[in-house]
Order: sequence, then C-alpha cells, then structure tokens
Amino acid sequence: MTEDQMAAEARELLANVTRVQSHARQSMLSASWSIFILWGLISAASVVPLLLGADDMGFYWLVAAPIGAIVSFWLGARHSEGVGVGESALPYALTAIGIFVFAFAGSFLIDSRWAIVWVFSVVAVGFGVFAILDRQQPVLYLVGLLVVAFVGLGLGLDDSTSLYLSCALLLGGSYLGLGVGLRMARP
Amino acid sequence: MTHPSQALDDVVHQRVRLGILAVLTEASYADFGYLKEVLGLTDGNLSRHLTVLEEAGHITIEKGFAGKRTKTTVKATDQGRQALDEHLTALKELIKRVEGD
Repeated sequence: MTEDQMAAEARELLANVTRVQSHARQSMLSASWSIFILWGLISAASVVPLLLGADDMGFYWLVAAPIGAIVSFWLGARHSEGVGVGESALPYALTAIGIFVFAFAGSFLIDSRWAIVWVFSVVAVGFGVFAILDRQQPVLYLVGLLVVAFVGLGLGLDDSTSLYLSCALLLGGSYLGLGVGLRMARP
Repeated sequence: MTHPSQALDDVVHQRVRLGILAVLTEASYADFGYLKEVLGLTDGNLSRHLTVLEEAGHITIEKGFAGKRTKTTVKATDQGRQALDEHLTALKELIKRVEGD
C-alpha cells in the first residue's frame, strides 16, 4: 500500500470515527430538551408562592430542587435505557449536589438581595457545568448571558420581590425557550 | 524518525473496531443493539469484533437483564481509551506526513 492510499484510508477511518461519535452524542442529548423544560417550569412556577404572599422562597426550592433533580435523573436514565447509549451519572449527580449546596449556603451567608442573584447565578452556572459534560457549547453562551443579566438586575433593582420575579422569570423563560428550541431542532 | 504507520495498533486499525471504541469513548457505555444499529452490523459480526476487543483488554462486556430480555452492555477500559487516542494520533500524523510532501 502506498502512502497516499494509507492516508486516504486514514481519512476515511477518521471520518467514520467523527460520524459515530456525533451519532452517539446526538443520541445521548436528544432528551436534554425535556430537562430544560422541567427546570424552566420549576423556575417560572417559583414566582407563584411569592405572588401569593410568601416571603421566604427557601422552602419552595428546598422541596422543588431535589424533586426536579430526581425527575431529571429519571428522565435521563429512561432515555439512555431507550436509546441504548449513555454516560455515567456520577459527574451529573456531583454537579447537582454542588448546585444545591452552593445555592443554599450562599442564600444564608449573603445579604438578601444579593442572595437572590447568587442563587440564580449558581443554578445557571451549574447548568453550564452540565453543558460542559454534554459538550453543548451554545448552552455555555446562554449561561454567561444569564449570569451577566442576574448581576445587572441585582444592580438595577432595589426591591427584593421585583428582583426575584425578574430572575425567576428570566431563568424560567430562557430554559423553556431553550428546551422548546432543542425539541424542535431534534433530527 | 519512525513512520506513523508503525504506531497503528492492528487490533484497533479496523473500521468496525475503531467505530466501537469511538462510540465507547464518547459515551460511558453502549448496548449491543445500539452498536449494531450505528455500525450497521449483524449480531454475529458485531460479536466477533467485540470478542477481539475484549481479549485485547480494550473493552468489558456485561450481560444482564432488562425485564425479561437479555441485555449486553459494553464499556471501554482505560487501556481501550488510550489505544483509541494513540491510534487517532497516528492516523492524523500519517495524513499530515502525506499532505506535507
């Protein structure tokens, strides 16, 4: 075999590797839309107790976050079972625990208005870590924009209720939009 | 300087086996059925290639049950991941060498 033939074979093998890896990645990610919609709904729904007069949102998140995490893992596991290819749940579980711990620790340690900015930023950054694990570059850009927007809202809004409503609806709306977009873009 | 083709691993340097390792390094695990579908193989053909990779220590194969059906799950070992990395590097070197001429 000449060097040219060997190189042609190498190109063909590399193209096949790229094809099957891309197929595996797409297969694994084809359910991520449902997880974004779930967290979009959880975030948007958190404004309801606030509008009904609740003054501490900690209880809502203390209940909603673990339930959301369990449902997310169930959705992911069910999807992997269905498509026949998947990833280890451990890095995702550790990230979810990290989001929970950092968000709640910050909410106790930081002044109330900035605690809101902190919690929503931690949730967004946590999803950024998920995006790195999933190699979903566009989600990272959204996460960056969200964190900048949360800090901007923190600087611009003095009232905690308005700040919370703005952050929750921004995060919820962004994740719902992303989830719908990913669902529609599915091959 | 050694020729890049010297670095090609005979076990890995085969379209199907390279494809199997490529899937298993992108994902943590894959079912027999998924590999069969994505690589366009028959049961017997895939089994033969999996056996070669398992005997070389590049993958592990676990058999279990999903309900009443048997389920075969395949994972790449650290050795398998390294073998794929080295093989892909050698392939790229080979292309670079020819394109550089």
